[in-house]
Amino acid sequence: MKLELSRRDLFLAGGGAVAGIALSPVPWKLLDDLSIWTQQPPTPTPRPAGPLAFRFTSCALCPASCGLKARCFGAQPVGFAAVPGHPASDGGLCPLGLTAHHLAKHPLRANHPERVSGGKRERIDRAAATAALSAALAACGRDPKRTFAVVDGRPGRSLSRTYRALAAATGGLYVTPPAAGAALSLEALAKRFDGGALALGVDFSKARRVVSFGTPVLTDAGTPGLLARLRAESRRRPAAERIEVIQVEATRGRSAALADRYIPIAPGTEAAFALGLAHVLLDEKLADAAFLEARTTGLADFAALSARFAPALVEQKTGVGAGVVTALARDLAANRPALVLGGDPTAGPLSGETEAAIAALNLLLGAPFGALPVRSEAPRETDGDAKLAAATSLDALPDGSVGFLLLDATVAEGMVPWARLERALAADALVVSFSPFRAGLGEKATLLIPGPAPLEESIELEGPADAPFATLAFAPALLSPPKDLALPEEILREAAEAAGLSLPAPAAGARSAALLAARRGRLYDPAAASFVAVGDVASPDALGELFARGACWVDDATPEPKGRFALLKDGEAPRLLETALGAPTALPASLASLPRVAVSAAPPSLLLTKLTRETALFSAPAAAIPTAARA
Amino acid sequence: MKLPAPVSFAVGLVPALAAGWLLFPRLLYRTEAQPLPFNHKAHTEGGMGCADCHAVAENGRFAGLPATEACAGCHAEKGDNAGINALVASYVEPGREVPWLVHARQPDNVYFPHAPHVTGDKLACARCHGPHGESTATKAYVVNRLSGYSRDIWGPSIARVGRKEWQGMKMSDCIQCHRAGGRESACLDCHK
Repeated sequence: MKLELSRRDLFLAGGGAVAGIALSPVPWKLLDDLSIWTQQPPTPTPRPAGPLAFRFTSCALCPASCGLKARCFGAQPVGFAAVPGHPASDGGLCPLGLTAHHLAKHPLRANHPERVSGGKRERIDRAAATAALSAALAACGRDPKRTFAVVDGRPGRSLSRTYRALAAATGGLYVTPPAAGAALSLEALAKRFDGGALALGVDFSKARRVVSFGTPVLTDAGTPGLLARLRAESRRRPAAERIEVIQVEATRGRSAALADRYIPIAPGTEAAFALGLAHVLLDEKLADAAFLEARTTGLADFAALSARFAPALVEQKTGVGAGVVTALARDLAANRPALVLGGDPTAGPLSGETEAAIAALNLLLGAPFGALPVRSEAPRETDGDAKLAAATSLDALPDGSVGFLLLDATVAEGMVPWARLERALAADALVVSFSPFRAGLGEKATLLIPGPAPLEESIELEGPADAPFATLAFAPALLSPPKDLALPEEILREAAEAAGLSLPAPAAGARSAALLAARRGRLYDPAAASFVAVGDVASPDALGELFARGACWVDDATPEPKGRFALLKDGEAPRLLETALGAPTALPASLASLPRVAVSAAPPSLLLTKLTRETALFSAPAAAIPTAARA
Repeated sequence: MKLPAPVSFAVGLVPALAAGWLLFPRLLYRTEAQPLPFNHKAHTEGGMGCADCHAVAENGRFAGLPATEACAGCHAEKGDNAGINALVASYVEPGREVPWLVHARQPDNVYFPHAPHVTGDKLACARCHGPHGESTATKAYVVNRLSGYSRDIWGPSIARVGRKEWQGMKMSDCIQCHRAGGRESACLDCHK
């Protein structure tokens, strides 16, 4: 009997084999193991050894300067936690800060100077890097058409002083990016005050409603980790005591995605929306009458202006339903303290007139001196006899004028758009970055001289300009920088000397001395979870010891000044009316291409990017809301 | 003679099932020998507890495996036990640490704190590690060739069926226990 095997039998046997494999552990076990294999970190962190210890410092990734409690094995930090009671963050910490210790091992980390030529990176030694800097400085001194410009993302440090000295010595420019966060809104309010110079901050802990017209309060601006924590805590309280964040924006950005409510609005119609809210507040007598009576002028004129913005008209202009406008105004009035923030200068600023309307809305809600407290600046050393350039803005850089552009490691692309910097460059300009990463602006440099990564250097950290109190920390380093790493301060001084430029000596300890001399404020010692008055600190050494333990200075409360805010300034009404009645504008094309993290110059940790991709930690990049969706 | 269709199908199916269930696990895992034999039971019968060698310090730091110095407290000299003699000759006398292969080792991007589990929630060691203290010999260290993890992380059964609660230390096992205890928390609590 002969067995006849046909093609049909082979197919059947093949099908049986496929079915057998499918019914075996092979597919799903392989899938599981291969997924683990593909996730093995490209730069594994060595398993730390040594006893468990907790150390304190402050996060330098963004201006918020949040307190960090580091869990260390030996000298190696393996995890971070927020510091409850810390003056800068009060127990808040964002996902970037939680993973700050990963960055020194980031795959994009650069440890040696690199020259970029024809798209190729070539490793060079420190002497060659210094020679290139020196030659560029000398060339700028010889040719008045090739300016030296330095961009500093964190002014006020001792390195900033060297930058300013170098700019002064070469006749160059010292550029600082616009303050991020709520700075423009606070400035708009301060300009309306007739009682002298006024600086205001934002105290989220005193607010129950936060309306933002673009400031990314939950992701990038101010102290986002703090607001997120306050909001999460408030959710455990009765509904009437909860903090809610309402984002009113044309794009559903990251902060809008995390907000309690997102109100999509036609771009360029924010002033009409703010005046619509003002209309409801005044029409239904919901505004803070006592504050208006005691602290403002021009109520009648402003009421006449806002009377034109009935919710029905606002609906036509903004695309937001009249009911939504009315309900939001009533909600803000019923849940005071409420505050309103405008656009973020780094992520799409609003016009001056729109910020004026938002300032008036804050006055109607009685926000100043409550949720928007008055604050002072931290004590600062004087310039003395040193010749130092004054800070200037990006607008001071004429197109095609910069022969040597120096980018500090703290400059994030979100703060200073590369397109704007590129426009200012002369032909064959040298672009030097001190970023420790081949990412962000560090990637644009033609000469990368990497400095220390986050946590690898002790750094002077002044809190953001929109914080409720001035804070200052000298955050101690937790990691050792790689051997032979060129420190920006050293390499700049070497290059300046080689170029024949004279720089003043570093003012080591001058800031601490200024702090002690001012005898203002208190120092929070995170290890002891207690405050020490500056007046009780015996000596500069004792102060240095406190800072080395991760202490943070916080200013005393600033007394409320006398004076009144103008709801409308002279001649402002027609301009405001014109802006609010104008047609919607086009959405700036740059908005959709903004980097994911606007204020940190460091690339996010790989773990964080993985979590970001796989969870709802952040939403997708900003996307325009179609007009039809607003109806 | 023509084969009936079910038979043709079975000709493919049966070897594939056999290969998937029997051969595949053998190919996937390899066995490595521990550096020394170790009898847990001999130690626990003498009245020692887990924490006598694997202590959680007051500061929460888990000591993990005991240092050779701790073994040398009792086993400083050779005797008539081959295992002890190997310990003394290869590790105690030269002052070297024993390179044990750790079945419960987690990847470097995970931080597992023993303190909140053992000291805080009073979980018995056996809850996650099983009745390890009753073993009389070192268990072979079986490692997954692809993931590099011990087989104990997956559990003894390739199908993960019929497992005891301490068999398996995958993230899903952590989550299951945390979820049951109402302790679900953020990714970064464990991942660093």
